[in-house]
Amino acid sequence: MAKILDLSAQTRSASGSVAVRRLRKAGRIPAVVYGKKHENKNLELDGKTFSKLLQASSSDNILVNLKIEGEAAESLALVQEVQHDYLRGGILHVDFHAVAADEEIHAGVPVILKGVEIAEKKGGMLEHILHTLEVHCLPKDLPEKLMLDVSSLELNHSKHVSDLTLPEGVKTKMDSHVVVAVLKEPKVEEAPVVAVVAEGAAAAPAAGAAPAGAAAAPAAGAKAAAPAAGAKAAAPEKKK
Amino acid sequence: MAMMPSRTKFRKAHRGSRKGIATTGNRVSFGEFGLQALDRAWIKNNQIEACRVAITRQLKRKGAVFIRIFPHKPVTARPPETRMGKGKGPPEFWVAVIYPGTMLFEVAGVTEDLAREACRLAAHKLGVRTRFVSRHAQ
Repeated sequence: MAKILDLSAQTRSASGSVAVRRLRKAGRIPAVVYGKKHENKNLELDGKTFSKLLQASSSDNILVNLKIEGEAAESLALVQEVQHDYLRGGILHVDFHAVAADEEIHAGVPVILKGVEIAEKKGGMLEHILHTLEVHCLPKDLPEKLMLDVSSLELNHSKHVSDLTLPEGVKTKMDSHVVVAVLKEPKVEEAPVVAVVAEGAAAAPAAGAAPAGAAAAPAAGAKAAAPAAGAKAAAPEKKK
Repeated sequence: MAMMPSRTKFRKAHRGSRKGIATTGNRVSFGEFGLQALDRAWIKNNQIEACRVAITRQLKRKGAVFIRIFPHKPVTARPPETRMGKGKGPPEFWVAVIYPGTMLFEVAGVTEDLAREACRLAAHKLGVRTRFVSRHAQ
């Protein structure tokens, strides 16, 4: 189950892009808290504290006891969304969803595969398709991550949502036939095909073929071996 | 075969705007590792193909490669030794409009070292600064 961590926040009066940019420069993160039984409030957090909190967790789904400065009571909140700056790094904004302990919530939980090396020893390539699973549960039952053992997976077989063992009190609305991971057979290499072409070309002069034919054979072989080179040669012709 | 749309509503397109940064398609969504653009550019369809070839050859047909961009935009050019006027030239090639932050390629099912080397080779085929990113680090 996900741990409930303590987090302190201050109310924020400044809003708008300029004020928020100044806040980020000062090492603070703008945030907001909302909920069914909670008044919407603009907040600000300490950047370093929240980053450490995120790094310690395996997902962005963190339950926190939000202690807002100036408010007597703590409120239970789920980190609903963390906006990252995908270009420069860092956190832009955090959404907190204030929830009641007896209110069902839904959140995306990461699916972690176990026994990948054992499965890949069978000669296949494991493709992880479903990285997060949306679950519905009470806040106290929210799992941090879901483990799926793929060591028993055979070639060209897959594990589905139905193979995931959900903890008690946790449900998912996703179809049980959705594929989570598949052990695919690797693609057949084209190299043997090229070898056959080369053998055929070598056999031609032995059978007493004209020198012109022998000269044409390596060219054909080269064409088969490097389709990209052929494509590159075709491009300038198209330009003309 | 270089990528191009199978059918378009109009043959020629305006140049458009390249302002701003990528707000979508900017994270590793399908694979484990990715190659992210740091500049804005038009990337031609043959450049995308060259990158794909470079990555798949480096991976030696292991793993999976995801191409996250598509050349939707036709670019026209005037034929050589033509006088000005007489209308816009014919479409010459196709480009994908790239903003800073756009995820160009993704790789899955291989080790980080192999993915990093494959992305390095692919980055050399492009005229934009790029960065290697991992799903777990973002």
